[in-house]
Amino acid sequence: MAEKMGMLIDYEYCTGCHSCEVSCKQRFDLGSDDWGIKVAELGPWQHGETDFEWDYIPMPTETCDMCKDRIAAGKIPLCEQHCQSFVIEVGPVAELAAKMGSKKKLVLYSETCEASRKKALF
Amino acid sequence: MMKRGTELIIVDPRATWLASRAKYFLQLRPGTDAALYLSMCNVIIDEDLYDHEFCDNWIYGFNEFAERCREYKPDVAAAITGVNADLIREAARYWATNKPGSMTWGLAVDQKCNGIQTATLVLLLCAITGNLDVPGGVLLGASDREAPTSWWGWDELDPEIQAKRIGAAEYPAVSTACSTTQPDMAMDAIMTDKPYPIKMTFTMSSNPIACPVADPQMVSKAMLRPDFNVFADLVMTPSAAAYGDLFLPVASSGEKDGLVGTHYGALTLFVAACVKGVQTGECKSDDEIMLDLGWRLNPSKFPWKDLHEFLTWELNGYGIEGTFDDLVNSETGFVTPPYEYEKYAYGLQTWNGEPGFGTPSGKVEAYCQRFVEWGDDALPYYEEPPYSPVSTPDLFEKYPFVLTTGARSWSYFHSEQRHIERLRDLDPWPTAEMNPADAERLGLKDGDWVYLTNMFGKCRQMLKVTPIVKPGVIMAKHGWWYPEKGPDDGGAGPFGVWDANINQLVPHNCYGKLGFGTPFKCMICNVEKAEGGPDFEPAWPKTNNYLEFCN
Repeated sequence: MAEKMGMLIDYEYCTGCHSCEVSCKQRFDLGSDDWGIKVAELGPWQHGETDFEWDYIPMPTETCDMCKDRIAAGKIPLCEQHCQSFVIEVGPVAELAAKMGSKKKLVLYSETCEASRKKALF
Repeated sequence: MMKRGTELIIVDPRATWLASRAKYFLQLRPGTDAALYLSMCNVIIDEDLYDHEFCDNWIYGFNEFAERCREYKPDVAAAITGVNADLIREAARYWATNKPGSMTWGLAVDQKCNGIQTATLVLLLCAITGNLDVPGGVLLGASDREAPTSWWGWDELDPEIQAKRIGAAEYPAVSTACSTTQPDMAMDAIMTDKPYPIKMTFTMSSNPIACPVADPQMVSKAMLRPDFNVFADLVMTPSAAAYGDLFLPVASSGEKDGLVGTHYGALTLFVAACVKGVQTGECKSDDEIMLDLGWRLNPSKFPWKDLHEFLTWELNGYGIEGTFDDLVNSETGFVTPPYEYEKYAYGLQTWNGEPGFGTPSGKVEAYCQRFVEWGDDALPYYEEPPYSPVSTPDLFEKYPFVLTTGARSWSYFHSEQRHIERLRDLDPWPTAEMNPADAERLGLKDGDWVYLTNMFGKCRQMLKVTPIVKPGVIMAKHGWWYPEKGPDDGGAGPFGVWDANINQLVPHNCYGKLGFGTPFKCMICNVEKAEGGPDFEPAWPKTNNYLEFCN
């Protein structure tokens, strides 16, 4: 039985560039209103004169298959590869879970589905 | 760098994601940057936090500069900029006492009449703290290593031809620093035939009436006067549609062999190879077009027999050995040119190999005699933007917002890429940002379409209500046009460029004493609700065939 995969996001450094979204849309040929991973936004909220809270948090959807085929071929998931800030790490969920206490603003996703809703083009 | 512990000081009228993570966020009124930097220098000098060794040995006019800075103590700067005086002091102290420190700046520094002084102050903030040309500081291009093509050919021109450069006599700073005409005067020549008529224009990688010019409707009319206008670009643009006579399709990055050299001033950080993956239609690269023309017009000055020989010459001009093919076949396809720090101490910054900076005095000139010769103050100073609550209080009553423009989008660079579906999906409309307090006061909601208006013109953008701009400030996007509108002028200009272009609110012939600095970043405007938005969906027509628009 294949080990369970997970996606760890360090959203202290996600800049909201959407590269993960676009690369995944290319992989699955998704339309404008369809995502394999989608960036959510907290804020911007102003707490003080120069104190702003503002985070971007990528979230995998039921189209996300953790790019298991790419991993099997010795590559990394497409979103992880294209992330400009290196905030995405996909791997065995148990290994990633061990990192959860290491810093603030980490989120760990388990797999979203048994099989992706879509067929990858590449 | 942030992951490694670098702390940020952010100077911006607009809170950005970086500002949310900055140690100090100095949210200043658009256009007041020089006042802020003068006061930071004042704190650093008067609290004796400056680098004595560098200032004593390598700055010319330090004492005069210190005197000038005393006119802008933090309380004075706070009143001008809207930045808290204690925050100015803390940020200045932090900058001076934590090293090394580097400063990066974008167009906002330049796009104001006070821009030259602001840029000078940015560099002086680095200089007085000993952060110039040191590891982790602000780096300087070597005197013999600027981009090989930037000044190419000028020295070989006949003096009679050189004398014809429009604006060189009036604005020697522009001609000397940038080797160009003074652009507003060149546009006047196109419009008036004075000092002489302009018969032909060649526009490459520029979409003038959508992006880089002020008063774009005037420019669009003026550009009908030359006999022959050529455009070389990736897609049909409003400018090419409005006044182009010939359109040369240009290859994009994946469709050409070429070099990409990143630059910050005269400093090339790395050079990378572009490798052609596909031939699209009849596209040629910019380099190929230039070489084709050069071989026809003046073959002796274009000695390279083919593109690759030219690219090798260019690569070597960056200080990198080997051929273009060597770079292509290298492990990464890019290389960083060799770099030497503290060039000023080792004779690597001057033409004669003596220690010093490449200036008349051999030092960093806080007091710049050349500026005096060119018609400006020797020392940096603060000057109110020409249209502002302080400069033009009467106009400001009618147009009661400070307008700044050109915040960046992940999807676009200037006027580029509005036609690419995936990018347009991310950022489909030009947005004008307004503080929630102003929106509530005016009865406006997030997503409302509004007209931004002032004494020079108007445009329509979608309102984004957000706390990231202060009350009284509007940030409008720039470079907008609508590819899906088609090239015919349906009253809103080709591709609807007069609908969205914010530069219609920015005046022609308005710049600083040295000839630089149209105030794209600091104007005034009013905001009125529009009856609705553009009556079309953002999309690119189902074909990318630019030829459809070329009949």
